[in-house]
Amino acid sequence: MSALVEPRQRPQDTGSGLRPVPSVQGGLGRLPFLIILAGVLVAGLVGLLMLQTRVQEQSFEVRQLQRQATELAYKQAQLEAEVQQKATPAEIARQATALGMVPNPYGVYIDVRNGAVVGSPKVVRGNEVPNITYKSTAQRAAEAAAATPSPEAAQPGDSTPQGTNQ
Amino acid sequence: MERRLPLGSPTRRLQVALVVLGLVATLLAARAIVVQGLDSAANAAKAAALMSVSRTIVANRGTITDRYGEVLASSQPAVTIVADPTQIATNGKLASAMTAKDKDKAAGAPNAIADVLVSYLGGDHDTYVAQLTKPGTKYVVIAKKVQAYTYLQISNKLSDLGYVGLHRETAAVRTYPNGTLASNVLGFVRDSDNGVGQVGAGGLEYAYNMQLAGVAGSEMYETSPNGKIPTGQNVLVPAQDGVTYTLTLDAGLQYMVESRLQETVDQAKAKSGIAIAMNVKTGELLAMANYPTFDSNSPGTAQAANLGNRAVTDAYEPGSVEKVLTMAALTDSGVITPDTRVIVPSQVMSGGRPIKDAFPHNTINLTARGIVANSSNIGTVLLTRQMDKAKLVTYLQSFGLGSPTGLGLPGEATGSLPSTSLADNTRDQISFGQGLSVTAIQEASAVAGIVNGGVYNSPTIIKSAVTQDGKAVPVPVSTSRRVISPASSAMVLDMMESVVASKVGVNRFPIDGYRTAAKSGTAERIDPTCKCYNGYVASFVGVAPVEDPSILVYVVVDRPQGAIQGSQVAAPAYKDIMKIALQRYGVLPSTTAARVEPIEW
Repeated sequence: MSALVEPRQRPQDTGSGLRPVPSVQGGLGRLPFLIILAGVLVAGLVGLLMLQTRVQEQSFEVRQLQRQATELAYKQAQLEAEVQQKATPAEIARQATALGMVPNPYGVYIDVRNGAVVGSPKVVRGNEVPNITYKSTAQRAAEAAAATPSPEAAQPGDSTPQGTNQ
Repeated sequence: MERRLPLGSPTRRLQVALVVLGLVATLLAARAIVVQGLDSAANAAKAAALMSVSRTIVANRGTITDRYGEVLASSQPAVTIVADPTQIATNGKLASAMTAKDKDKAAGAPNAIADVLVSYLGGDHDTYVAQLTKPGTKYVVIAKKVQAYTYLQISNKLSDLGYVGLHRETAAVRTYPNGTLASNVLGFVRDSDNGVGQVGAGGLEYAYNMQLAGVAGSEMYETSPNGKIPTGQNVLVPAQDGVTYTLTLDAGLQYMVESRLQETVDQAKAKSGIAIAMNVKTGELLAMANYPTFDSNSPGTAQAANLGNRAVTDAYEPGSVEKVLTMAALTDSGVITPDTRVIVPSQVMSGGRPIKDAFPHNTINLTARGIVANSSNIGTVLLTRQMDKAKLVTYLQSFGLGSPTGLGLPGEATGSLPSTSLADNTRDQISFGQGLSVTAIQEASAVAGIVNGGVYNSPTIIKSAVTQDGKAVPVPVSTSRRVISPASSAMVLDMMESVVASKVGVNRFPIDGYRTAAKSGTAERIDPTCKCYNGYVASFVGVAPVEDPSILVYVVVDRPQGAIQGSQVAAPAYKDIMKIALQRYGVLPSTTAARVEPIEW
């Protein structure tokens, strides 16, 4: 229904009548057209060339960065290995000994709730536990050469009568 | 421009052009059919092969760490450096095209390269020169297991100097920063048979080789003479790195235990020794030491006998430490209490042979506690005879004897335990630790279970394992079972405390401030070659503190010369290790004095 009614409601459709189509103004001449065409072609080619160059450049850059990443990964691995080496108990013992520290098997505890010291502190000299203090290979060799039983090797257990305990 | 070129008739021209174009089109079409239609698959494959390169991405072998994350074994990127002497001779130039200057440079190359090698790798200059100038070859191995970064530096230095001829072959290297530490547990690796990577050949490296190795990946990409084609096809299957294992071992404690054990074995001039420190409450091994041992970095230089882990592979007769297990069975089956009175004669006959005590005595009156304190074989036999012998064997089985503990280390021995229908004299023998064999880990776990309120926890050495992307991997877990009642456990501890605190043991192995319970063992050692007794195994086990047993230390010394008693040979090491372990784990000193209960009557 409404479709039939619709045209009649258009405004300004009735009064003005037909108008002539305006002629195309100033159509592009042959030469400018060719120049523009050539321009587009050149621009396209240059663009393509630049894109290609850029992609190549980036590919080189990627390769360079990958190489750098590998190099740094290698460096990291080497440094990690060094850290691991330095963190070994044997190395820590060596460093501590070099600083004049000795292991203390008679540690005491502090009760953090009331500050009480649990246990009796003792002075240690480093020979309380045989062989626990770091010795260099040279020192060990020297000791083996000396081959005399060291006094600290004597344990309380050795001095008591034997044979009562199988 | 007035005259036109004579181009003939336009129709003709058109016809000729059409024919020529037609011919060309036909040729092209024919070629296209040959290439694309008839042999397309083969051609495509050929082209792809020319363009695409694939390489294997080696998976990193998993790391092994101690309980605190300290690295015990890890893999590093490394290379094998190889030289091409033919290339070095001309410094990479074509011999015919060399100028006088090039020849000069090439002549100096071996010396210059050797200098660089010495500065980065150490070693002997002349040896390098000899290798670099070896005639008639294009392949000389200069150095193996060189850190990849070190090689990179060498390579950069040489290209700065303008020399060529050194190449690398990638080969990951397994490093054990701690050297000999826990090497018997970790094991070692060897180069795999196919030349790619390494395979575990001992210890955990062997037992968990599959998981540690990971899965190799691959990369496939298209390439041109100028390198990778940026827009080309690129298929990357990343390598799956190996599983990382965290052990229950404590590297710091392990170090001290190993040092102390070494001293013990050397002092006793013994063949070997084992020391174990264990968390009584969980069955976790805190230290597991062997001596003599080896360096996991260079297993090739070690004696084959020292490459294993004696604590799990070697079975021996435990001697009097076994009395702890016997007493546990006796108390739990209600046969005795620590105060049970026994008249102990000077000897007792068993299977037609006399059994004696290590200390000569006339008839003495001992309590069951006194029998343990004095380590009386006769008393132990007399008490054990009051118990059903099959039941005794069943108890020993429940303590884990006669079967592997399943802690995941390779080559675990089962030991030998007589069947439940054992002869009477065998029963007498096993009651004091002869006539049956155990591994150190079995014996330590059994004692730990007995003193742990009677709950046996199977020992573990692997705490956890995770894949590269953090997923947990199943590892052997501790299984718990009640083996004796809490009351019986307390009674056994009472008897073991008398070893330390009674007048027999007077201050023999006390640890300042702590109440400890212990037992020594001295066993004759069966010689597998002559099937006879030859030499001794001295051992000592102890737990502390008695009020709440937390840590167990077991020291076993094989074939000591001179003193042979466990209380002399192994006890001092036990004492020191226990002292260190208690302090390390913050076990507070005992607040009560040691019980001194009657050992005689």
